[in-house]
Amino acid sequence: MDNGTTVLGLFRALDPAAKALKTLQEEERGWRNLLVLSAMPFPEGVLEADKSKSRLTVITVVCALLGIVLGIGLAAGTALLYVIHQGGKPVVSGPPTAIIAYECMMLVALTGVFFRALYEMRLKGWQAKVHDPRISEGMIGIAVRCSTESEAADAEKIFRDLAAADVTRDSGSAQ
Amino acid sequence: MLDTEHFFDNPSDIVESDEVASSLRTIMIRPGVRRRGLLFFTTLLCSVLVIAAGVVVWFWGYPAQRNNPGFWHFSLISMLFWLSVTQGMVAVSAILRLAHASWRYMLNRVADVASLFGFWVFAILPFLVVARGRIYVLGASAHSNNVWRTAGSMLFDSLAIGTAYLAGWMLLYLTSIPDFGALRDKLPADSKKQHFYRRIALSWQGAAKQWRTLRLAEGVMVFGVIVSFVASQTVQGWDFQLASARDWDSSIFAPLYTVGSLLGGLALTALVATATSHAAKLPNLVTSLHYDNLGRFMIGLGLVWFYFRWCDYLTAWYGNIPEEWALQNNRVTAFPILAAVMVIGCFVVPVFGNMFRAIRTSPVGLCTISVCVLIGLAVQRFLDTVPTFAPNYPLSALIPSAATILVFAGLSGMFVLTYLVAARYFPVVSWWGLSKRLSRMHESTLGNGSVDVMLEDPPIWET
Amino acid sequence: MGDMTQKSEDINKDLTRGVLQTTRSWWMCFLFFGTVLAWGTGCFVWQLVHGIDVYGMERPNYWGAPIINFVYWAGVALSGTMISAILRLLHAGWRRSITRMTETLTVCALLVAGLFPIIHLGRNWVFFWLVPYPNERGLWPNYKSPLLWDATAISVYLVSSVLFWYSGLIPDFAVLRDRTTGWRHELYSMLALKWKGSDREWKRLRGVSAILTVMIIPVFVSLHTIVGWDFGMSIVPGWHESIFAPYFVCGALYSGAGAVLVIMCLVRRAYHLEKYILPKHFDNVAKIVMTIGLLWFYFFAGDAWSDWFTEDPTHINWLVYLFGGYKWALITLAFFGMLVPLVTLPFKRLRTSPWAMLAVGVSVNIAMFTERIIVVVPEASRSWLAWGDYTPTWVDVSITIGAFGLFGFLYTLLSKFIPLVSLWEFKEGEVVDAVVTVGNAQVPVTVREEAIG
Repeated sequence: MDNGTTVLGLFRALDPAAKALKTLQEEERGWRNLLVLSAMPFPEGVLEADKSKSRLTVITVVCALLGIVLGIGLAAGTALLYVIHQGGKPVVSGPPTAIIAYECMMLVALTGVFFRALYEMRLKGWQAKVHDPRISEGMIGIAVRCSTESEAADAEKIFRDLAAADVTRDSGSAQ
Repeated sequence: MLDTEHFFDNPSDIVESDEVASSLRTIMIRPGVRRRGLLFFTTLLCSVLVIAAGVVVWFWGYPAQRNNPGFWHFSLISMLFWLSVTQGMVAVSAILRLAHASWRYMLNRVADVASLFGFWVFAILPFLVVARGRIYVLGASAHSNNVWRTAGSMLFDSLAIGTAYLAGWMLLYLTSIPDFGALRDKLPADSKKQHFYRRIALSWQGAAKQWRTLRLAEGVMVFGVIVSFVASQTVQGWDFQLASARDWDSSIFAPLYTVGSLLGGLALTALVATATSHAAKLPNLVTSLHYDNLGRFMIGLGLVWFYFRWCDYLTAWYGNIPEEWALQNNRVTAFPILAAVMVIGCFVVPVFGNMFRAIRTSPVGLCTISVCVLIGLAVQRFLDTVPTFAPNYPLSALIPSAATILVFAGLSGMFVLTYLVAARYFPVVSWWGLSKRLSRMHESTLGNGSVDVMLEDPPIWET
Repeated sequence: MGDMTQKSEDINKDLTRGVLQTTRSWWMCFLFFGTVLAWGTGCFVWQLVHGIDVYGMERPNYWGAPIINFVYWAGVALSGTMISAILRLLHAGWRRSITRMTETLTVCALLVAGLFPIIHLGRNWVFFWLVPYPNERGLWPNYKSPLLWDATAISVYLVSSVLFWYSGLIPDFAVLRDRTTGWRHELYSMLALKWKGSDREWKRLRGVSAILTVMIIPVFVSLHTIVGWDFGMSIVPGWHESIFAPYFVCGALYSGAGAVLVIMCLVRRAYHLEKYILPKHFDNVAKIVMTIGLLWFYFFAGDAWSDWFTEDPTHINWLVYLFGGYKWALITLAFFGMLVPLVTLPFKRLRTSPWAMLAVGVSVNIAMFTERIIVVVPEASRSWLAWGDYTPTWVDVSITIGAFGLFGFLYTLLSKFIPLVSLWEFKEGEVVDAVVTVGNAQVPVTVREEAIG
């Protein structure tokens, strides 16, 4: 259990929000204690706090391989399992198996990467509790998790000095 | 906020910058012909190969190889291979212009110069006319369908190929006019070179009206190049492969050859651009960004090539009509290694090799892939024609001999010679294209990051 | 780009109005399409009761209106994702206003297309035999048949398009969650999957969007390729062509791009989105239509030419039919699919006019529906052993009209739940696009997007 305070600063414009984030990063708050909230994505590096690694590409490749195996099993495996002889034609033939394997590869890869992305998107702990409907109306939120009161006060000062539209606090434990 | 205040701040700084000025350096400080060095020996070698190939074809081939269709067949497919990849280079350049690719400026001139290979093609075309007659006998025996049903296809061939090259020449010349004007202005007055460029610059002054006309003409020519390229490759695809395949008149050859030509053109563009940057000592000519984008383009074209090839194969395999399947199957079973080389070269290597960023963005990686692509395409030309002829002739007649290999080498020498000669007169990178690129893009800070901001290009026919 | 909130609020208000407010026009559309759908459903029930011979299909024309509809709707379904995916891949900044409505077009058209393989079965009620689950029937789906490849491909494309569509919707559902109360709030809370708009979420969304973009392109190409192989794998003269696969894909893209023009015009008018769907969007999509049209004609002509060139009587029969009894189809195709686009699309003034583009879109779709008739009927009418003809019955026509009703019904219904212009993509555009004064002109600038992959 982490007893801390979340301070959320809401900004109307990008530049002050970026300055606030940079100041907090320079104070070495740690990226896990910072959260940026916005209604639209920004180009890479413009307003970024999160440094978590993503495995989307690896999962795509793994799921694609699984899909190929599934497709071969479906087209060739089941044909061998439930053999139906058709006048001179092979029980298992290459090109149709390849086509079904390709389709299954795409299906499993796309589904796998989608669900992996949903999994990686999850916000945990204190981050999951931060919410302000004004984010949807275009405000940019910079949230920082502070373990001490002085850190929280410092964060509030940074936000106010940069003309944040609003600064809120949310005390309490994060599970 | 996006910093948008510095576009076109100091145009003269851009034009006088080292990067832009270096594009003209190879011509401006071009020394007299030196009889030493890599370039000299390359030129010498290519010239020898060209002359040797010419001698072989005209003085030995015609008298001694009259009844050997294999000789003519190999010579023909060698020429068609080079024809398709050079036209493909010009088409790639045109497509990049049409798509306003911001990375195209370094590569346009290098690719457009390939159209000058057309001069060699026109010289060889008469030989093509005669050679077809020699190959005619291969298909006519033992089958009811003749090889070429329509007598006039030679005319269509010449028109289509000629138009495609002509369009390429016009695009090359038009887009070089501002560069010729710059050379005219920078070279010492009254020197022979300056006199030459004064003539071909056609009183270019850089007036607004001249730029507008140039842009409009460029737009029209880009469409002309693409349409004539497609027509040329289509006619070649229909004319040769469609007719020469007995009972398997596959309707996919035209688009297959068009895509193959684009793929080959792209591969050759990568190779030539790399060679040019080394030879002209312009290390910034081609950067990892260019290789990256060329590699991605190659993935797409490789996939489309395989798609068309797979459609061709599957339709024959599934239909299982004996004559059709025999021909398709023959390609693979009679020449399994070559079939594998073709598929690996044109599909496996460019598609899967380019998926790795490290390979795609390195000159060595992309050039190696390009060489594999070109080998695959050359083998494709062989595989698409030989299985048709093979049952009628002993295989020994269809295996390349020293003479036919020399012919291929001669044609390759022609290609290299084209660039060596052209580089003495055309700036290898478009001077005004570079200026345009540098002035249209600059770095800006946004938030805590820096981003590249670009002026949006209007459509090519609008100024 | 200073204060972003006012612009954001305006965008939210304009683009969620269609979802949050229900006008009388919406109800009229809904009821109209519902009625047409009900009529089509009734005709289908009639077919269930009376058997498949209520259609005009007779030997050798065992494929008629149902398969024509299937191919047509599968084609329309292609372009939505094509426009969205390919324009994302090419970093075309103007795509932002139209991606959502075209992805929705795909989903709806695909749901309609997916019904037709069931409709055209002799015993529709055993369609589930296509599903590969262990059973005691002594039968198993035959994966060597192109029809099974079709079923697989449709399923894969349906799942892929829905995932592609849904992943882009999550942030917009979050906006709707924050702007609604009551049952809507509950619904959007569930759909938004606890989306907060954190940089972590945006990074993952961009990542999955990039991967889906790249992978869905081969999926949609393979879908219509396999639809083409339904015909190409046969040995029926006129169908047994290696070019059928890319030809079908091009035809699908052509009809789909035309449908995109229609949807853009109607949605813009219905929801008053004149500020968001600009003349330049019509201009750009019209250029895509023109390019694809030329490509389609190239494949069509290549197919016809290679059959004519063989001088083989069996190959040439469909052309004989085409210039004979089915001349009306050829004329319709030539007029609506070639002449109308040719005389309108080269002119910028017409390209930037929404109503002119609506007419072109409708014209292209009429042509492509006719093209499906040309592909299916003449070849089937004159096969190896039998000669025949195909005349659609009132049931055929009603099912066809019912399909349009179903599409309209689904699209109208979905427009009540999802914003038809992507809120977050449009706001992203506001961040990365600007206008700069250069000399005496205002020139648009844009931030170069990161390459995908």
